[in-house]
Amino acid sequence: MWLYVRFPLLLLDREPGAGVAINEPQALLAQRSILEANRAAQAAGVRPGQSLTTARSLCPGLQCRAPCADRMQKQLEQLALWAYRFTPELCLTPEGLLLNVAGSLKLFNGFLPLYRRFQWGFRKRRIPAVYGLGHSPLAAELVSHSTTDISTLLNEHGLLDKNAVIHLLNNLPVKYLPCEDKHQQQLATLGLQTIGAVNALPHTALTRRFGPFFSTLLNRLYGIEADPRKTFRPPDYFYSERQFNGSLTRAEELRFPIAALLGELDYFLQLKQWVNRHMDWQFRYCDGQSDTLSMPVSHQHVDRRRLLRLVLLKLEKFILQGPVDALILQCHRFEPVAQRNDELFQHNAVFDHQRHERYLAVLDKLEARLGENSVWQPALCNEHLPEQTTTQRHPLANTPYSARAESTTRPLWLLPEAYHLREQDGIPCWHKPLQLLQGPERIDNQWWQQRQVRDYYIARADSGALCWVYRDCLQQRWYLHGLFG
Amino acid sequence: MSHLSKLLQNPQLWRSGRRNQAAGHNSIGTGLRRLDQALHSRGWPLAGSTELLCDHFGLGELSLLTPALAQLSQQQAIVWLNPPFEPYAPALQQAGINLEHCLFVHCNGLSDQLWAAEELLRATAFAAVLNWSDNSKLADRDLRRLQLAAREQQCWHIHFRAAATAQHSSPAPLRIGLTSQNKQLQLNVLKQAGGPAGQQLLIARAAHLLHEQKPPEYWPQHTGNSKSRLLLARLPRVKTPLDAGVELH
Repeated sequence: MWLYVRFPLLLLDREPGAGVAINEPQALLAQRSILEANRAAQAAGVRPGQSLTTARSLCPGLQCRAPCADRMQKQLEQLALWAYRFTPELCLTPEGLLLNVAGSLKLFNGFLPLYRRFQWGFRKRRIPAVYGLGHSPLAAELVSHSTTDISTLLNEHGLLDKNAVIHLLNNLPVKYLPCEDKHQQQLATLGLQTIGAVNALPHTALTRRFGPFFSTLLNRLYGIEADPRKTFRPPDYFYSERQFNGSLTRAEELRFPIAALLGELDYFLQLKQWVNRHMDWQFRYCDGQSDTLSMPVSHQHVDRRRLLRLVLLKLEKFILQGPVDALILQCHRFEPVAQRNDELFQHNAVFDHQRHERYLAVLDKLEARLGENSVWQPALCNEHLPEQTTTQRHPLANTPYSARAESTTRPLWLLPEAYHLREQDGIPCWHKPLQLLQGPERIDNQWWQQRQVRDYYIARADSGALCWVYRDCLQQRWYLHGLFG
Repeated sequence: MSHLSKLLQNPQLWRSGRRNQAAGHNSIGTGLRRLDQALHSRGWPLAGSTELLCDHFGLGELSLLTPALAQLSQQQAIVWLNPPFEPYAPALQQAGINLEHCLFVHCNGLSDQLWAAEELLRATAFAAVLNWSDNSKLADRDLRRLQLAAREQQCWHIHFRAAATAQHSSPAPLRIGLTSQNKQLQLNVLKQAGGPAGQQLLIARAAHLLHEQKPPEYWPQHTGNSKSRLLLARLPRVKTPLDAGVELH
């Protein structure tokens, strides 16, 4: 049981082209005749099949362009990703999507509920769609050209009525048969008007006249021969966009499209059982410029509402440069969802997963508002100079700790840069002369580049603070380097 | 009668002359017996704001907290929000603090800091948030928000503020002024929940820090002209086992 969805105005509606408003008359052109016309052009009398000159005379402001197969393919792939939730047997055709829904009927309580969800989904996205239903892929494609409502093709059990489909096919004009123009003309000269009349002829005669391909075509159409198709596989990256055609000028208005895109991402990640580690937002403006906003995320499972809050937090400080034409969300880096084990006895839990989840959530929030380098953890290095013994590492980085037990006295506060102290009678002064208590502890290091020889002392300042000062033995100067907090 | 006994057990009710027993339920020992005795909660309160008011650093203000922080950091995370200098990781490790559970956050501007502090307190992912405010005056409303966040989410908010703010009122249930007094750290309890305040304590600094190693005449002398030679301290000759003729292999 195959369902076919054709999108007649997909390219015209979704991609109006640079600098063209959606309500201006437009048409797609192939070999100097109109292929498709949008609503405004149709209102002016332009119909598919007319020649360019006729169309121009009917509608002087008509803007024509050639169809772009790549763009169509990209649009179809996005729609296929959405339609993938209904059935895994999904194929892309140049004009639409082909779905084998036989296996999904039980899940959706029969064909009609599934069909209604389909219609609702495309109506919500304002994509005009034409449906066809058949017992073979080709039959479904051809039925979509007829004006009959496909619910009349169902029997009283809600299943496909094969005879009704064959009856419908028999009455379809021959011009919808997907064969070469030469063959179409031959069929016309033979006086064959409907597909049923063609099929009634002996197939051996048809093979002799039109080649073996033609009888295969008919067999496939009537479901006598198998028609294997290449099924659609969801891509390994996420890409989705929303077009606004310049109607969007304020950042607050982005909330709903962002929520919709995150909903798609959520669905994609569930499908793949992945979590994303990065989100790249792209704002494309009407003048062709674009802005990108990339943000790291460190969650363990996707929570759409939390992601939305995070994006809105990031957008608070982001200023749009002009009216937005398109919003694009891309994700390339993914990780498999970490499966976790919960403890049977909660009080014995060694690792609190929920707490860790909240920890990751607050990390994301902080990084979104304060910047990526505002949060860090200390990591120890095996260096001797005090300012080099610690490095900053990202809280989620997997660098191992090279923990080093140090037995010598170290201050709790280290100044980010050693502060030069003035010297009075050989004694360092910090506002007032310091009283040296103990030392020196010599650190002589880096003889291979800039040699550092320092004698560290503990000293007491007049305020009562205990300071860690050193005398640079090469420069003969005193520095304050830390405080015993 | 039962109403009265119920009322008497309310931890919010302050009764003069008697310690409130309920206040000590959620606290962690300070590591100093005298300080534990002086605080009605028998230790640092683990929920709500604790204000430490000091103008100078290096008085021992961090080592006052390290025993409690070391205990907390074994299981749960601790955040350091806008510390005035870099907390030196080897020293933190020496004090027993688990570095893997330490998180440092830096932000610019008062509004960002208040936002970050409240987010961290409300996250219920951290045992303690150490927060350093510079001299800017915080509104009572902001302090109350932080105190409420800390109390509701059972997080210890350690708020370092300037000594001058002792004059202003604050919603924090525990406020301690820190000064240096004759080589010791003086604690002046300005306010505490569950009983009278006004306790004054002197806490000695660690003995190994104050140990005066050598008389000043042994410090290195600066002669001025000899730049190439290193001037080393003339250490007093001490008899070591090496001098006694122990052979090293």
